[in-house]
Amino acid sequence: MAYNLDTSNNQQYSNTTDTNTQFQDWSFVPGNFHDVISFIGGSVPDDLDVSTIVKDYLVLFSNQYDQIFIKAIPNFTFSNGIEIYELSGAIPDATGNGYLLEQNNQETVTTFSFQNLDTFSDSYINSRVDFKVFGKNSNEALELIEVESYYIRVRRIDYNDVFIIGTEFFHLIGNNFPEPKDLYLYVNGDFTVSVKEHVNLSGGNLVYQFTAPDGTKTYSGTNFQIVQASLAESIESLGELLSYQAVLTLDNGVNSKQDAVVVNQYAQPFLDISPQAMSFFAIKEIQESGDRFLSIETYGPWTITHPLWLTVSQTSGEHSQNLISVKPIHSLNLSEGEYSGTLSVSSQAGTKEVLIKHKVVGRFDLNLDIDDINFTKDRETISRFYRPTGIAFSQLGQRIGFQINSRVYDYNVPVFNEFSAFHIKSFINNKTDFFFGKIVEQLMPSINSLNQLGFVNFSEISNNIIRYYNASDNQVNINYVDDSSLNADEYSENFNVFFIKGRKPQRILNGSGIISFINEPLRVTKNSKTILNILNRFNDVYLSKYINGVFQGSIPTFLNTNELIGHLLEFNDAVEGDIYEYRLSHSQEPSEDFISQKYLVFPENKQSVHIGWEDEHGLLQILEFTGDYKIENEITGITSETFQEYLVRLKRFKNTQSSTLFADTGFILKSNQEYITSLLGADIAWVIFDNTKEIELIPKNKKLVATDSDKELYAYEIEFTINKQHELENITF
Amino acid sequence: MASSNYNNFTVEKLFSNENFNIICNRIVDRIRVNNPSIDLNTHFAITGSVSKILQGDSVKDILVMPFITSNNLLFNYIASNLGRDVNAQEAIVFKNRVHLTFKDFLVEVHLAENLNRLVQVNNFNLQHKDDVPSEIN
Repeated sequence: MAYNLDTSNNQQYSNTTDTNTQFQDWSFVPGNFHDVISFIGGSVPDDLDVSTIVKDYLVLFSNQYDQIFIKAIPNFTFSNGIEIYELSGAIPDATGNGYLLEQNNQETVTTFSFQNLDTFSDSYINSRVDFKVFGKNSNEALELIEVESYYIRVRRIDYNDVFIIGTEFFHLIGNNFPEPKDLYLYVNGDFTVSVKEHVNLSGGNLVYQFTAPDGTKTYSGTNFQIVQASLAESIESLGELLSYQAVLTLDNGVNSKQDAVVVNQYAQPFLDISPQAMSFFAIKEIQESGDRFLSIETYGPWTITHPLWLTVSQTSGEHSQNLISVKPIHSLNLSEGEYSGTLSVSSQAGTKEVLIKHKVVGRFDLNLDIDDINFTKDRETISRFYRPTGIAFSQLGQRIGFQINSRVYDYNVPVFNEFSAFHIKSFINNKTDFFFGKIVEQLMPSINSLNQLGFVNFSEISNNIIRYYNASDNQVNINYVDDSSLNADEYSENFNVFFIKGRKPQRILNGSGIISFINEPLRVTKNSKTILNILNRFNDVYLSKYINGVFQGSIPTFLNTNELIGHLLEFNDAVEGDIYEYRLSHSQEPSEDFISQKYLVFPENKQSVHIGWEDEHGLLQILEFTGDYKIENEITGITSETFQEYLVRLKRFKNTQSSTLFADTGFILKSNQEYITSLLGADIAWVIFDNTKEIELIPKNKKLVATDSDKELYAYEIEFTINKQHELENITF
Repeated sequence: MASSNYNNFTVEKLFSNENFNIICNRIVDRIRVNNPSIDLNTHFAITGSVSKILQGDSVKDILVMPFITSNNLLFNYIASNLGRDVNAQEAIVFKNRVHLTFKDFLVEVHLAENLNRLVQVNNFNLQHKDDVPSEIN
């Protein structure tokens, strides 16, 4: 039975709130490089609990090691020879080989317990804990895989020193004033604290003292205090403000420190974000994407939504915020490919979007369409290869080998030749590249004569179909190889790719395509014959004919899988000004999903000479030359001096003849000069007749002989050398 | 290697959009071919609303095409390779599920501790509709 279920217009995954990915990188909360501040003579800081999530080494190294161990090693923990903290937790407390990593113990807590802080004064110590990761196989020693470090800075403030950190306000004129914010006054003994006008201080043991003529208010107090800063109503009289600095001064008579209460005041809601686009790139196991930072300028609360393959350091907040970190999740949680999505920031002023792109590649970034058609000169298909570094990959071969078994087809008949080759490339800075198309193209045949295509004139083209070649079929095996022995490592990749010569044409439609890089209408006359070259991989494609937009009928186009064929097109019934269009689609009837080639019918001219040539795809192109032509013969004699009856005579022994054809294209579309460029780039061309044998030409150069700037038409004179094989033939036509 | 490609989604015309049936065929086919030692009949099934509809529930528009497996090795293959093997536009691997994004079509594969009851309907392997986790669309 047929179920014929429909999908919703609003498809969605089952669960988008649980975003724990399979592969987890190291993670510390609070984040790396944490400041611990304390006063000399004051109390010892509380213990610092660092939530520690261990990178998923079990996923990465399950094939290499039986067990993974971790050891936590503190460094630079001493002041004057005395330890300033002790480390505890599951990892630091582990003995023997260290902390045995298992599926369910990768999230733990590492605790710093501070002590003996009075052994150093008015300075700081940068300390770090190295988490050393070891792999172990039974009966073998530990092997160091990686080291991850967590940094803290233990900062001591002198008894007589003072320390203050300012704050920042955001205010929309006319709105409620923002809630007061805490200020921490690090000071011992009596102090004064002053703040510029439009900001008030309160709380703690502060006592208001006086207001200076410039509006600065001064308060007094004693010892460490937590006080509150708030905006005065008078600040609205200043209008819009961006980073207004209300200076704060904390003074204990010995030392003083300044910071500021920063005020941003707006007349109306707004939202600006920067940048508007971000792009990321990661190579699995080798290189992760770095952070990009997002700035939000707004008033009031905001929220961020983003694709699940991104992590954002903060997804909601209030007012303007800089340095919001955006980065993709670890590449081991993503398949290779190109990800694109939108990060949206919403506030009361609306929503703004950041376009995000992320490319994930593997060690072997093939850039090829596997099991599909590729083009030999398509530089987008240059493959890139990477060699992972680090202790765990030290045994990996230093070079990379490519075994390519190619099946290359002849023209007109389904006969193929097989080639096998092994190429090796070295890594430079752990990367290298390889252009498969360039290698395969060298194996593929070219058109040496029309006879190769099964005809020598138009009347011999059977059913108006020219059969070219099948796309080359290539089986590829890639391995890292040992530097000296060339033995292959286990890590390898096998795949099949098909190649057609030339650059990738634009007109490709689900396994079919018009195989011509030139994507422009072609000038024809009612006398013209030309070729439309197509590839059709599957048997449901039709070529439909339209004249001036009116459907005339269609024919199926499939012959053999991966075979390239040319349709000979004629325009006998055409009228000047007609537009002929041939559409390739998956429907026998008119369809909106198609690719097409258009032909513009020009008036016929005094001549009609068809010249064909091999294009970059190894296929025949034909252009009708409607202008005049001339053939110039040059006869060169070979002479030698002879001696006869005491006289020297010059005698000609042999003649050589060279013939040059000068052919005028007649007016063609300005955009058709690409056909002329293609013709001049060909190694060989032919004058093709209706009934008589072709004349072989070597294209030489072109000359612009006429222009019609109003209609954007050009006429070129093309010079050809007539191949010497025709020396003894009557080549007048 | 399997002798012929899996094509039951096309045969049974599960989705009205033929492309979606081809995608599902290819998913099952790649999993089958690349994991020959694992019996898919006992370790891999359709779940969610699709499974319920195939077992008689009323028809409704499908939010996502959900599969489920109880086999860790199978899930590891799906997590590591399936996205690339079936040319998914995107594949994101979570602890307990994989999201695969195709053009106009979403597929997910869940990891379950076990699959108690499996039923077969028209050659589709289905998680029993009473066992389908409520959070799966």
